[in-house]
Amino acid sequence: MTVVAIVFVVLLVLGLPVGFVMLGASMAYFAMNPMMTSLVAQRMSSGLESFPLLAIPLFVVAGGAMARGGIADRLYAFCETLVGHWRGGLAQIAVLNSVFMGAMSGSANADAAIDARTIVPVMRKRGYSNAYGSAVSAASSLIAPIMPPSIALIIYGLLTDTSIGKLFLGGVVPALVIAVALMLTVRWTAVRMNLAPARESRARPAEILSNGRAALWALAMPVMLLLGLRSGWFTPTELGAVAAVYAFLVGIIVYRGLTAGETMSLLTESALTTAGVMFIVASASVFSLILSLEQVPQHLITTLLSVSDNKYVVLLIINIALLILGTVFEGLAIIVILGPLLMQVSQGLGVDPVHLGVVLVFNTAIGSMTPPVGTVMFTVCSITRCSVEDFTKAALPFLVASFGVLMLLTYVPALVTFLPDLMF
Amino acid sequence: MKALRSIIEFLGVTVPALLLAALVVIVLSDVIARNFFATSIMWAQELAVVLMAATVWLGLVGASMNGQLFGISLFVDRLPERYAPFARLLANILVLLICAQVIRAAFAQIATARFTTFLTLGWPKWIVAAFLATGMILVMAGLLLNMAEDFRKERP
Repeated sequence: MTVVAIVFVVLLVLGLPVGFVMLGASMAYFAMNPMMTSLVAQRMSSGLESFPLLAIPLFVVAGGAMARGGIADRLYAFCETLVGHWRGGLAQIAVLNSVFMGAMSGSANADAAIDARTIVPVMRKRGYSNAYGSAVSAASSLIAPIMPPSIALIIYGLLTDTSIGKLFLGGVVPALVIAVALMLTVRWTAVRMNLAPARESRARPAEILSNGRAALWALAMPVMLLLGLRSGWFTPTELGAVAAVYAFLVGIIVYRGLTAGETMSLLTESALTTAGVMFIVASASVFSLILSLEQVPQHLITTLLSVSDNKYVVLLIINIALLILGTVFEGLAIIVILGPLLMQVSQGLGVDPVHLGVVLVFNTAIGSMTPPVGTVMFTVCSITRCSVEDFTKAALPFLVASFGVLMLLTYVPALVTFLPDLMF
Repeated sequence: MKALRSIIEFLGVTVPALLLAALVVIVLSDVIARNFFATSIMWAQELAVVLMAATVWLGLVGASMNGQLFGISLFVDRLPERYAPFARLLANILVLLICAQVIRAAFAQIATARFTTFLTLGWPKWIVAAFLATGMILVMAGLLLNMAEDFRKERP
């Protein structure tokens, strides 16, 4: 196992893609252990042979169609009329916009990339620092992995055999709590930095209504999601296909934002994004096999339970360990490798699997905006050309607020479980 | 070189996009058939899974060539300018080695899983491993192509 760890660190430092890092470490293990080589390919293939996993490409297409088809623009205009008159109005718009966009894309990276391309340039023009705009874009994208349809929650649900419908519902209240915490942080930082509102006066009800009507096709999507799941018309996976076609039709017929060329470009972008995400899932399934063979789960469980049998203490330890791991590991890989292990620990302590899932996903999402291995941080900084040092300084208040929300979600499980318990 | 790049881009970018479109259509068709015609397309789920595997393993080529696979370049970027190219070269060689090992594993999987089939489609299950092997071969080809082009640019 020591050699595997060394190979892992060396490949990571050399800058190999995370999927290849896990595969390389696995190959080192199999080179030293006389096992069938075909196991690697068998695990990689079977890791993808799952119908529920199809939700990922389908929701990626849906999110892309929403962003390109004109729905994102309407949502931005609607958010502007709602919170544009507040202190740091543009930053508030970015956060609120992420609530709606998160309800479509399900991915923090996708949401952060949209914000970094669209809102940050406007922020810079209005006198916001590039670092602050980048930090707001990254922080607001933390809502997406929690808000249904979250790709990370789908993967957690599949690996731990937890109802994806319950996980989706369990994410709604926490996503709103995160949004409120980020908006309060924006307000606090805006006062300190003397940031002006985006508009001089509050929008009139008629203007809000008009922009709301224009964004109605987008706002209807979460309602459609809940209705379809509850009525049993389609499974969460199939909902992805329905959402993709819905977004596509709205983009072509209603908003007229999608052309044939745009459609091909959207499909290409979605296919490559899907490949990147699923490659990590497939490689992590090989890597997790090694962890199982070396009985790492058993050691982890024994160690955690030997510290304390109080579930709140163990949850605190898990959270801290995940935050530390999140600074050097990719979030999705942590979920794939540790999700099932932590599920075993939590079952012994009586923690609800839906509660654990939301806490785990939010924890890894926080890790995605911290150096040195924050995927969201790199996505945003590469688009806005912001240095990691400046970004980290500007993101600090948002990280503190996110940690506060994480503790709240950990120790007040009802915030997560209330809605699924009510609906199921 | 140009022709090879066009072929790799067609297989790694255009084909996955078309497969993804087919995937959406098949899943949606099953939903429509079930809810409006009270019937189910039996093979839809299995075909969708095969299409996803093909999309992922062929799309990996496009993602790799377009720099969309996430890695940590922080440490290599901070190396002195004279050492950074060597670190990148070493990283590329390691990726090639890993790909070669995965291809070997995929062929071993094809040989051992020759007789298992998808239940409703009746197709042999090794086709998923074949997509994996094809994807890795194309990743290697794309990487070698990029390395050759970089080498040609740097040559005085």
